[in-house]
Amino acid sequence: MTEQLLTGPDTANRTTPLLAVRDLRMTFGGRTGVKAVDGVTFDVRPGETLGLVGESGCGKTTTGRMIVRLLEPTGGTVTFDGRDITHLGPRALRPLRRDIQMIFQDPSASLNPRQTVERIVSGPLRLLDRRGVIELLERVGLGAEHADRYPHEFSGGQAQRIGIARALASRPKLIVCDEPVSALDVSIQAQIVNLLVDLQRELGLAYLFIAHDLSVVRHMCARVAVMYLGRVVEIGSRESVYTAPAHPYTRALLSAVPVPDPEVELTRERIVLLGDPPSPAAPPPGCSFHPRCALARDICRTEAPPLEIHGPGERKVACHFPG
Amino acid sequence: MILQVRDLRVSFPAGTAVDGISFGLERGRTLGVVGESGSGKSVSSLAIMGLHREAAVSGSIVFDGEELVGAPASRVRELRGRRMAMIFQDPLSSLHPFYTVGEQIAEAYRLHLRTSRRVARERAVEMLAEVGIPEPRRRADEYPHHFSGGMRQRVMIAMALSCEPDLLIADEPTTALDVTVQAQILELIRKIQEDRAVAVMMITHDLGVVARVADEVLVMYGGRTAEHAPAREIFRSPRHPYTRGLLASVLRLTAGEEEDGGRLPAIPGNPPSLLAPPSGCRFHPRCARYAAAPDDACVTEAPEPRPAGPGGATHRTACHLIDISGGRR
Repeated sequence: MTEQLLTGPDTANRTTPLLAVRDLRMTFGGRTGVKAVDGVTFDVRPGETLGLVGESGCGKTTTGRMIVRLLEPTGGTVTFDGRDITHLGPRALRPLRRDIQMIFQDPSASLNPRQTVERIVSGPLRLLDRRGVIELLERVGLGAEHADRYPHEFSGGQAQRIGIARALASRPKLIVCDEPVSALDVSIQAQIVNLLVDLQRELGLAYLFIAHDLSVVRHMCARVAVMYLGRVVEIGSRESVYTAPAHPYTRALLSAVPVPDPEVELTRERIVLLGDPPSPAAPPPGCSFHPRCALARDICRTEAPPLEIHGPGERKVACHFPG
Repeated sequence: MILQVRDLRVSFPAGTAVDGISFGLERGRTLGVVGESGSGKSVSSLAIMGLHREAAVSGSIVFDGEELVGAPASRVRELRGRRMAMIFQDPLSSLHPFYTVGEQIAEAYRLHLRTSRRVARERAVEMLAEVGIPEPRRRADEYPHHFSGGMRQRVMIAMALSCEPDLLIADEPTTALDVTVQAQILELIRKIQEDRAVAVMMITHDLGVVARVADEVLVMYGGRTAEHAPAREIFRSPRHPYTRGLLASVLRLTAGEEEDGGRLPAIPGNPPSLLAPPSGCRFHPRCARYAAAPDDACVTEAPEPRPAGPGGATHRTACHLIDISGGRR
């Protein structure tokens, strides 16, 4: 099963993926429940960053939580380093926890307030001694003087550095970063982005970078997947997705982002979508984007478009009328 | 000038959150107030609305010719909601969960304009229609939890505008919203401003939002003005090292390819604590220019905003280390 998946058409290129996600599904509340993730497929190669972007409710966080196996998928497979981890039990997962780590959005809420930084970073497995902890703290821009303090003594940016040090303690191969900078001040965002980029270069880490901010994703990720209502609607290289977006939703999303330049803002074309993102509890039939899409025709209302190769390279789009 | 703020100071028992800011705002114009956490941007707006009970507010806030600092609370209450209105980041916490949105909009209207319930209810429906809520008559009878985040923010805007205020303060109105919904709300605020010539004070941390909506920009740092200029100038020829650092470090949709995945020119350090702010210029511990050529004045003396830049008197910068003759970047 695993063999077959890994030699599928999506991964026929030179590098074997570190993480292979195939038709991943998560339905909450039984068979008739909410389809938070509805058939997601992508790869993350060793040392690369894949961006997962989308608006609230699109399933990006749920996807991340299934990959670190905080959630057990209700369908599809997650293959890590050639091994199917989709339904591993708690004991079998334990060694895997070292290889796949996670960084969260709200750094202070994800640190135990009653533990010192040393304790937090060395982790429940006590992976590091004090010297190791201090080395890691220095690596993320903190110092020995921080080791005995508690999380409330730190600013948001510093707390995120602690969260990153904790994630690094087990020498992971993949870190799932769930909105790692979106709660931080603008001047601090750049510091944390730089830190993540440096760490990746030095340690050869792979990131799955989950964010709603298209500008951050653009900077961090060589490849990008755009999600809408539980599905990937477009996936490809940064260049193809940002400079020639093929899905009407990607185009609208990109045009909605305010650009910090008043002259550009004055002249650029803006696609203002009607309505809100639909609820995954009651998805529209056919293409789930059709009620907000200016290009929608009859087929869009009845038939969900498959994710197919469109244009050069590896870019894929799920749209009946890709641009 | 519908609003003229001079040397505004807001102090709490623990420290001074706003330490002498000045600006004016005309009808039909938008002032973008930018700053990070602790910069004093929200505290300033709450002071204008007279919403600080525990704080000592000094300086001057003149609204349409009337001094609000030291004015009786009852007078400020009359103006608030009627002639100055405010919307917040999280509409759900500003709406009462037990009343329908129609009742909540009508209540404010009835209170300020002393109309009948029926007239106020009609007004609520009319306002919901104006802010783009479909089927306004039916939706007026629904409760806040029936609305999505974007729709709730529309309800807040409907409520804020129901009494036709002259000043609208919007404190991070789109920060909690998805980007496609943010675009809708910014478009709505712009349209309403055009139709009604209301003055808008838009408080945000997002430089993109400022670039989209603001005519003028006030950059705040540590409770003080760093730079104040027409929007175009702030973005085209920023003068203050903080403004420059911020603009250089912000992530963009269209960076040059050579920057891809590279290091961003980040501002070092953290925003200052208001409990123990740095002496002199509050930005000096993080300032690239100070680090390159330290000057005692930066440590001992708080710089006053002064004209600097091609915009003449409209472009004010509070920095000891800039050349006031207005050289370009």
